[in-house]
Amino acid sequence: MSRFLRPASKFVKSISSVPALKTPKWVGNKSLSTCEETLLNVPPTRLSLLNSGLRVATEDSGSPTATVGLWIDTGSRFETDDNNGVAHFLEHMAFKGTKKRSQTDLELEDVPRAVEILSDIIQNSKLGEPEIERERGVILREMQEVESNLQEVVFDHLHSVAFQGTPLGRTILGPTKNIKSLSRQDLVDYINLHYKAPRIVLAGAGGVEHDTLVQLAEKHFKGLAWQYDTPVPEMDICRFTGSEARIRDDNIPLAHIAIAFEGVGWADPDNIPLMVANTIIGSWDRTHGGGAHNASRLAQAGIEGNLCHSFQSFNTCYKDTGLWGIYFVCDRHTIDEFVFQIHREWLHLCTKVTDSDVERAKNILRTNLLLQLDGTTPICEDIGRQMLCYGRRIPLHELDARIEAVNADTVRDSCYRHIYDKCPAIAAVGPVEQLPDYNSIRSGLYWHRL
Amino acid sequence: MLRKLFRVHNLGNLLKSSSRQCSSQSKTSPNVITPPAVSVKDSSSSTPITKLPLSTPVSWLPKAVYANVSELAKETQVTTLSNGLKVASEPKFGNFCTVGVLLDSGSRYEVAFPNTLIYATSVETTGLDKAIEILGDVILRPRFTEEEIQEARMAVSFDLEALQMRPEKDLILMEMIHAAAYRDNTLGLPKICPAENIMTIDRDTLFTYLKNHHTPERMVLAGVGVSHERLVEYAQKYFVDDLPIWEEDKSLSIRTSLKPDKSYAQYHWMHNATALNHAYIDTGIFCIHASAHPSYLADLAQVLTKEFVAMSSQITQDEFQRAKIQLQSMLLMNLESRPVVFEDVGRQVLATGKRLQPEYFIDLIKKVSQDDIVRVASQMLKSKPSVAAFGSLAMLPSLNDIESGLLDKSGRMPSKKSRFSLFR
Repeated sequence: MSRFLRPASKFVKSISSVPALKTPKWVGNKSLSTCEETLLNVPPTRLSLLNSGLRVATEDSGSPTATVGLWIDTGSRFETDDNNGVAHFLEHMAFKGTKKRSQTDLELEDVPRAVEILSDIIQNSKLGEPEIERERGVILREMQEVESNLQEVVFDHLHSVAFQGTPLGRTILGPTKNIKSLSRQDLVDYINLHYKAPRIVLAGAGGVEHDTLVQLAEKHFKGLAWQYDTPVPEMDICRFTGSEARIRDDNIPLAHIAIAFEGVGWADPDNIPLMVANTIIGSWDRTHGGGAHNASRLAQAGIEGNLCHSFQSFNTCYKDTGLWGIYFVCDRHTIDEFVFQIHREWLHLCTKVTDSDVERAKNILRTNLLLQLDGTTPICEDIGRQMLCYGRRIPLHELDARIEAVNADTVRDSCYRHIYDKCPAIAAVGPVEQLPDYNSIRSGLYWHRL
Repeated sequence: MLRKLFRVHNLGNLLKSSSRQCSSQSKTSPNVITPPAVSVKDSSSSTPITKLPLSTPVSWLPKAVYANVSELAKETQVTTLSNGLKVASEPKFGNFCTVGVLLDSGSRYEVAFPNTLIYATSVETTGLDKAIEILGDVILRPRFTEEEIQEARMAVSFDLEALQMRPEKDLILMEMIHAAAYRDNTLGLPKICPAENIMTIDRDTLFTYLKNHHTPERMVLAGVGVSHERLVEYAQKYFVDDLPIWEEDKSLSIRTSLKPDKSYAQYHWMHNATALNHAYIDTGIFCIHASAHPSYLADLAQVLTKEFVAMSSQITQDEFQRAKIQLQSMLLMNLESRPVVFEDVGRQVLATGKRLQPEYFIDLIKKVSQDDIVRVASQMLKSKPSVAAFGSLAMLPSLNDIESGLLDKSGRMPSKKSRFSLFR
């Protein structure tokens, strides 16, 4: 069985190059400057563009299992106030049977059947009224679950204030009113408007041959439209607003608080320095070992003063904007002190972060990014996500080189532009009386002299 | 030929994570969208890499040489070193490897410690030397300063506190069902450190334990995604040539050694036991774990007894085949991930000295017949059940009712009416 790339057929415009087939043994040398060819101990990602505009991307590792997935470039950002929640509703409907198949037929299968099923789901979804009614109940229950998870509640509030008045300020699930009122027609309209071949990526990882997957895609997705009868829907710009939401409830045992600045979009060059900055702050839980020897200074402060139960720094990206900040859970009496420590760390990042801070964080970041690529499902997700975010899959050696190029100056410069003296968005739930008022948090984000 | 399998159940997540993403559209005419093309023009040579959008390829990078599917031999190699330490490795794609040590120091030997201890780490392949040095130091040469012990005590008490605030029901239920099924002996003893023991475990206890249980013949150093030669080389260096701290420093106060408790060991032939999969060499727990609103507890128990009884009657061919395929794919898909392969290699080598490839088990699953299911299930139903429950239990049927349910041909528990009728 040949696994080599055949000459592009007349149906397929292949835009990947034929990888050099050399025998890499165990990779030892990572130094890029001295090595003309970089050895990667992973199979290449191959990409084909079908005539309809549908993209097929695979990483064939020859393993006995495979994951294939469809990625559609759409979501709640294309929703309006009236149909907010429809994209999520469709996720729920995806496995509720199609015109050809009942729900129980959607079982484990081999790759050709899997592709056929995926195509069936997005092209022939039955969207039967009884299933829609049943799913309403399921989604409302899911909503209750989300509402009992305080972290999700805090992040929903954070988005609703940070991106107020824009699609990103809405929740993915949509308001209860919409979940109860969305009709079959709303779902059909949404599909017809957004499920177009150029906005879809078919990704495969594991035991999938690229050429086979391309042929399968040609066969099963030929019905997908690539043109609009109406103007192509535009994506609104999501404006960030420094603002806050506090829900004080002294009956909740611990305070759950998120503070964030406007970050950057997926493809922004500042994304990598901000990821490094995010790693320097780190994440920590007081049940973790390591005690006061933790590398994160914020964790050290948390341990020494017993100031916090857990915290995690985050860098969430969307198409053209993002949120960079921290989420923490702490006792009601230590909020003030811990916020002071957070300020200290952030200003440290913006003004005097050192090369050794940055080197350590780069190692952790690289490790975390690469360790995720374990198993066919995470790899398939990575391919699909990167195809939508970057229009390509960033080769590992390029990602390495991009992280390697970051130094203390790059981090300081990015943080100075995105954090220093900027208005944050704040969301706080629980016994949060002690959280300093907005102006006081805001005025801690600059120094009178450097 | 193995079937290539597909994960339907994961797609919900795939789609969900894209919900907030949006497209970039380079429009040619208002009614046509084209996918963003990978830019071919070379704008990247003049722009510094830190200012280049992530969507633009970097042109000046050295050419990448990718791995080839056919090169990866699927085979586990095992070497035994001079002191009895077994070293096992398996190749895998990726620039990262998982290495670690598995120790068979089960509750059969010492009542207060868990069964198989695993110390493992995932590192970049270039850092293998350092990783094994650290593993060697952690396992054979810990210092256990007063400060470290104090911090460990703190972490354990935070853990217990967290367990009380948000109980992890699965964990507690597993502890309870083992306690019920194996009452006074080893597997029934708690894995979670009881609060009153936190202060009594000291440096001497720890060193005494290590000296007796961290011995090379009870250890496997396993690696996934590493070269076998290098693994053996470093194992020799850090696990054979460098001595354990208790052999180097004779002043460490070691109490008289703990002998395996023969009375337990004879009666309970446990070997390489883990409470997670509930399969032990001569015994095992097959349990169905379910939860529901407290008011539905009676129905829940009824469903469970019916399911148990149904296993011993014929099931449909379709259902049976589907279960087999699901089990096979679950096995293969779990073994996609490096830490899981690592643990599998380690456990198998620890128990049998070699590792059988997943294909062997796939074949075994294929050979299972419907009669086997009926035979095993009927045998299982002859034993007395153990029941563990957690939460508000007012509606939970009594153990007697559950037992009679399991003995009934259709799994039905005695109804309330017949129980209260005095003149039956």
